[in-house]
Amino acid sequence: MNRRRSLKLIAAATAVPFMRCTTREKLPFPITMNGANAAIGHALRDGMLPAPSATTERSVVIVGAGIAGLSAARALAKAGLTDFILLDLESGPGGNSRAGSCRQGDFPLGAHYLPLPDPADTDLMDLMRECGACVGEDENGIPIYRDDYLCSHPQERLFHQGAWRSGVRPRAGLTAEEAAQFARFDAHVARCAQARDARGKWVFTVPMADMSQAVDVADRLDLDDITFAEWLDREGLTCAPLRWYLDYCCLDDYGADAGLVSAFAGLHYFASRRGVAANAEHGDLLTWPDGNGFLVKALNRHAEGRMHGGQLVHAVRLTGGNVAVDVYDVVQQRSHRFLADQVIMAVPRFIAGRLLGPLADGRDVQPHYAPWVVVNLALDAYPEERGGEPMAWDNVIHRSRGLGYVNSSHQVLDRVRGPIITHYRALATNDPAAARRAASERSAEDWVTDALDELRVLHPDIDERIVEGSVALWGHGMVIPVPGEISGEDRRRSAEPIEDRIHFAHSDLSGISIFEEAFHHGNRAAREVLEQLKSG
Amino acid sequence: MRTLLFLTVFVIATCGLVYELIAGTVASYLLGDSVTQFSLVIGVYLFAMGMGSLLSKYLERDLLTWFVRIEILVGLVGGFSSTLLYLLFGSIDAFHVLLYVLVGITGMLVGVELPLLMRILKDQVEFRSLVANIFTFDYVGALLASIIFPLVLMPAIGILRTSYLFGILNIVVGLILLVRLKDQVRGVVFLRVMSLFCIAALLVAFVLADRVQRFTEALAYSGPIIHAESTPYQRIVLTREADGTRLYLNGNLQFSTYDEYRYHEALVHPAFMHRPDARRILVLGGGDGLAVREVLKHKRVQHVDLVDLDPAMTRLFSENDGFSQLNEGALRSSKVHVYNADAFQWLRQDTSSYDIVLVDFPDPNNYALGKLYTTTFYRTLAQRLDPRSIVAVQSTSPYVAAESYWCIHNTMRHEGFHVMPYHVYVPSFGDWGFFLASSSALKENMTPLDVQVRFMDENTFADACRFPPDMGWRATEVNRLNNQALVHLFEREWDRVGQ
Repeated sequence: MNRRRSLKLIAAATAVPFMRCTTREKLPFPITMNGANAAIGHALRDGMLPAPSATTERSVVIVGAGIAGLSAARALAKAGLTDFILLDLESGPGGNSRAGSCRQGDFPLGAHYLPLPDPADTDLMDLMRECGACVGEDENGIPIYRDDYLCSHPQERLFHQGAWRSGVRPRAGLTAEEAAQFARFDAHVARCAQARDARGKWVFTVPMADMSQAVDVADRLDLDDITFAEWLDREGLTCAPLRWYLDYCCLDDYGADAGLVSAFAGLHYFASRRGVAANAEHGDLLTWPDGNGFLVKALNRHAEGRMHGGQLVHAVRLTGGNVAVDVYDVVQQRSHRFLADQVIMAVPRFIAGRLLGPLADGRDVQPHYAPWVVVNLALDAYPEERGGEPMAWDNVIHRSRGLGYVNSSHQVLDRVRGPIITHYRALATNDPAAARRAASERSAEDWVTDALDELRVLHPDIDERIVEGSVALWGHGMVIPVPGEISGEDRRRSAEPIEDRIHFAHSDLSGISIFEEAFHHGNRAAREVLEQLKSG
Repeated sequence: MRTLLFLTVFVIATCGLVYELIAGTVASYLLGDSVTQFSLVIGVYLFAMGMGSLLSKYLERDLLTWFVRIEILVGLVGGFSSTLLYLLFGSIDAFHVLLYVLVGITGMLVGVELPLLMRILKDQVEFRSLVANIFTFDYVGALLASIIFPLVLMPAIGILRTSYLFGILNIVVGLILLVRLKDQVRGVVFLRVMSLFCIAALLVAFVLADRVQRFTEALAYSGPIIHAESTPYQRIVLTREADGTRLYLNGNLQFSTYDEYRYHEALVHPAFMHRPDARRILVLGGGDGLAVREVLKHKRVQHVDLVDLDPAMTRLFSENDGFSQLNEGALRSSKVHVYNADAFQWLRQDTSSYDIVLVDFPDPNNYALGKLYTTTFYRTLAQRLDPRSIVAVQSTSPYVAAESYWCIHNTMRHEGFHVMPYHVYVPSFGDWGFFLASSSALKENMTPLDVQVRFMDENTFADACRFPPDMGWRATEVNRLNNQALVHLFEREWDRVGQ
């Protein structure tokens, strides 16, 4: 490594503590910066990392400690395998399901809920029982969930026409035609939710691996060729309230609106959920004050002591019957090589491609990613309201730039003086890469100021209420299921193991960024690995 | 000209006395003890008038101009001071200071008026008849004010509109003089604009008085407020009525000393009839200490934990001598341990068990309170109980809100409790409901009490367990965190009767 390269690297490494320190500029409260570690991550893109100076052998190396990596680690540990290691660039596990914390409590930095699981998803139900979320079954075998993990009432409200109304669907002042369009859309969804192939497999389901692969299912392939907006136009579902609602739902789940995601993905959001609970309604969800940080903790119990943070994996190669995983230790500032029998690449596809280099062989075609900004604000009291329904868990603003906010203290049973609110914004445009570049140039203050501009309309006194803030910027927040993504060859290809030694696990492999998909791929990859270890 | 000036004397005298009466009324209404308040207000007011008279000698030129200016000021200060007092009552600490400053300013301005007028008229009227006429009009005006204020103005238009009306009258007098004698006044245009502007402001206030009134919560209570404070959790207001003291939390009546013994005896003693040997008691809510007072009548009780969210409540009812009299100093007893914590948090962190738990939360009229009536709450509570423990829960009115009442019952049943419903008549509240609950079956025959009660003895309890058909059991949803069914029922049922 020449001198110039190492200087750049040191600059990148020292940028980390700087980025995370508390900044204090125009706004009168401290703001912490969180999110993906872009400064260090870009060192990988710029290819300026030193060669490894030592080597260790491991049976299995898992690259990436997000939900997929943690799920794989759990599956390995549960199968009795202990000789594995989990490497991640971030200091803690969880990826974009990580939680932050402040004096007032914990809050999500990204993913924050899990829809009621489908009882047919046996792996997920096993996790639900293990983490204490599912506490039993009623006489009909329907799962019973812990009441305080089910999203408390009121779940959602929408600020529409000057007042808060319950539910996210706009209902106020709909014309007969608009109401009819909502009803027609619901009928489509109901039909999709029931659609099965000749062998009884669902056309729309989660995880996607369980869905029908039959090509003869009437709608499916066609639906992934066009955008959701095009499909809606074709069906005559064009009224503004419905389209705003569907754009909101797509942004919420995919980080992009109906004009970008495929019709298949748009309908999948509505038609794939089969979760039931004896003590909740269809469509209810599980959530925690620290968001999916709760699930991260549950998964991480199996990886305790084997997860190593601050580890930037920069190359994965096949060498003489083993897999060499080269890692740069951000703290010690040197590289290390792990020789593994089996490797699970539990990283997004855009990273997997880079790490594999020549091995990628068609697995390095990058999908589109939506950047996200999540702003957490701890308040010292409940803010003044504009009238209508009281604060819900999810608080959505009709026709606003952001996706509204979640009251992350909603599930806290104790009466809190003031809540921590989590404001979400997907930076969705036709050019996510440009949005990502623009986003990286903005400061934490800028993001908080943007969020406040929106929140001030709803809560006039919010500025006086804020005690501290936190910003998480996710440059590659989630994969966008654009037309062709789900049905395309790239996605299938990127999940194919390399010489039965390198396996892949990530929600990217499904084309949609949700917990269930990441969990599924982690379990699947772990099964592949266990199979190989047994036969080898 | 002379007639006009004498009429002016009459009007300003009436106005002056009305302001004094308004200040006295507001003070005794807000602070109680009307004799002291009226006496102090009149004293301060008269003294300030004297100071005003004294100051009038320093006004040397442009007497008429000064008179008009003062009319505008008196109209403004006198017109708005009652509004200001109501608005700021409760939100400022030094309320007395504000009151006497306002009374002082009004009195001083009124005190300048008459000496000034006498000097204006001294060259036009013989001194002997000037003094006689001025004081005649002054005292007649005062008589008129003291008659119409209580008999006509207060009942017909209320205290706020009366203030605005007399503020307007004051300024109109100034305006008329301004128009009639404009050649003797300096800065006519400015004064005219000012008076028209002030009249307009008072008129707007007069028209919108109902809205102003809604902001001034003090008018919402029927009796004088004797204590008011805002805490991070609630607004605490105590009022004094003819029949005793009342406590309101967020505007909802919690007790009236006139009949609270019925409520608190009903909450506490039936549990002891089923568990006479109870030693360890937990009281959730009930920061007023009235339930603890009843508990301490049972001499076997050794230990009482009182958990109330709001430190301001327990402080008020343990440290303030006047209010701690109501609970007979119960919160100061060495057996009683007061904790300011959330009930959920307390139940989860605490590891001891209790013989009797008394659940005395406010009615479930919002989601935060609704959580304290859910399956999750009762399940958490069950962990602090042994099989013989008895829980008593206050549970709103089974008459007004029958479905809410039975929803609480059905929720506890769902969590495996044996539940015994009972209800009593509390005049301030109406027909009021409670439950006894235990994880083992509750006995029909219970032990007679060995404490002095005024209301809840064994016979009363036997009657209380009988429910007529219109209050009988109903099937309802179970109240859970994720449906808050109870809050919805409660809102619907109480809205129907226009709570």
